[in-house]
Amino acid sequence: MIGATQEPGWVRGALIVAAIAVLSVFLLLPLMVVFAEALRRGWDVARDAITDPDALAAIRLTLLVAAIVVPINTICGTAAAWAIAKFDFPGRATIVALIELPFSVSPVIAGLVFILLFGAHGWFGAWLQAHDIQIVFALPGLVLATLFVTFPFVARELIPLMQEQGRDEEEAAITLGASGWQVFRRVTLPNIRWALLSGVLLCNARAMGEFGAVSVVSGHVRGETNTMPLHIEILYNEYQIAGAFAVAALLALLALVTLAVKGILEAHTQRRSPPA
Amino acid sequence: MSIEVRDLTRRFGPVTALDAVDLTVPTGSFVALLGPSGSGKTTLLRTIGGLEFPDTGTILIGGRDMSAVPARQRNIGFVFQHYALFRHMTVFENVAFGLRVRPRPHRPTGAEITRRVRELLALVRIPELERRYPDQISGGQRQRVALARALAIEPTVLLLDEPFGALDAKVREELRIWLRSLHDRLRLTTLFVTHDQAEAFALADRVAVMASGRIEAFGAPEDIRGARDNVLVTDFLAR
Repeated sequence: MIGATQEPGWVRGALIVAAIAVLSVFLLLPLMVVFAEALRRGWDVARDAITDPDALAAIRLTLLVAAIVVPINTICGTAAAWAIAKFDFPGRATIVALIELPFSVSPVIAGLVFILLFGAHGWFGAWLQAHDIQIVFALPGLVLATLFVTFPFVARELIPLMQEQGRDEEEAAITLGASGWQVFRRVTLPNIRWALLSGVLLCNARAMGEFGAVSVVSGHVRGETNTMPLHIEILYNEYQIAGAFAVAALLALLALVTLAVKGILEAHTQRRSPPA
Repeated sequence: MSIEVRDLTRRFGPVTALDAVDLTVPTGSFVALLGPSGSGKTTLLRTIGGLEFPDTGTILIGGRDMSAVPARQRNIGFVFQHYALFRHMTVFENVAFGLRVRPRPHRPTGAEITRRVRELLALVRIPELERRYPDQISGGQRQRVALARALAIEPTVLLLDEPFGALDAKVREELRIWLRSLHDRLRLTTLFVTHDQAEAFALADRVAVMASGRIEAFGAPEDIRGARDNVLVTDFLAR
């Protein structure tokens, strides 16, 4: 019998080698370069670059933005996916398309939209100024831009899964007397938890790493509105290569930690589930 | 308790799924809703269960109007065609679900829940499966779990949507006999949907034949077979 999995041994071998080579060159190597460059001039230089007040402010700001954005997008993304997958209503297709919008629009344009809306000469600029509310070139602008760019991650992970799982279990739970919240908490959520976690982690990684949209609305005020990616760019443009790579290494490390957390959580639940 | 359906109509766009349906399922009886696919029988069952809403008409259960009663408060045992077991819960937890989600004042204690679940699993003859997950048991066993789960809430009536549809012939035959004997023991008013004539006639006290959203005939199996005056019924039964 000859099937898709019955290729000769050398073909399989060659494909595996090719895959590993591509992964190494395009994914692993750059990551290693970041860490190597960060430490090229020693631990002290790297540490100084990270403990510099402006760098610390950038780190704090990045974590703060992520801490605001990720919970909001988790809740809104889950709600959107739930509504789309479990209910019939007119305009569902439009909403799915809208959810994808941030992925198809360049982040720079997303940032510009917020400037056009809330900037000094924007639609709401005069009103905001009159009420002494600052959105662009301040934390609210950074949060809005990041919210926009990272919105699809959670919803996109959940919608196909929830659609595939259908409504049967939810309907069964309702006939058994469960309230809406009980249905979500006891039936829907356990069924989507891995996809949800994966979406949240991707959302988090992007929220911390977002450059384009944030760059437009940030105003680049050092120590105030610079996030880590923006701080890295400034250092790099000022030829502080080691410093730039040190902060970049830290940012990469944050991403690696998220991935590790995901791996550990998954391994943990697999152990808890019963033998098949 | 009895189920009374009065003048129930439901349209989906241009399609009339239920066309002024009247049906009475007497207390303690075992009634089959027989019809080809698309005849509206599942819509009728789901409407009685509160999962679909009629455009007009009323449903009474035990004489009480269900119009304003949401599905979760109807206390109806519903067994879904594909069982709809909670895939992340053990068999035990599946059966316990309806008890665990009760409002606190009505919720049995942990020990009481354990006792009740074990009793039900014994009733459906799968006590050894309580720690398994739905994907670790056979189709026939899943059907029994679904039934035990529906019975756990001590429903006033039992609704079954194509209860044997997804099973192979041998298991199907076994389960049929068993379900009938269970009904004879519990005397719980039961309405089940099927497109299989043999099943309807073998199991039910009364058969309602549905076609195009209407009930074309209703009566004891022998009467339905005898009544060849209705063209639609004759058509369907001749298949």
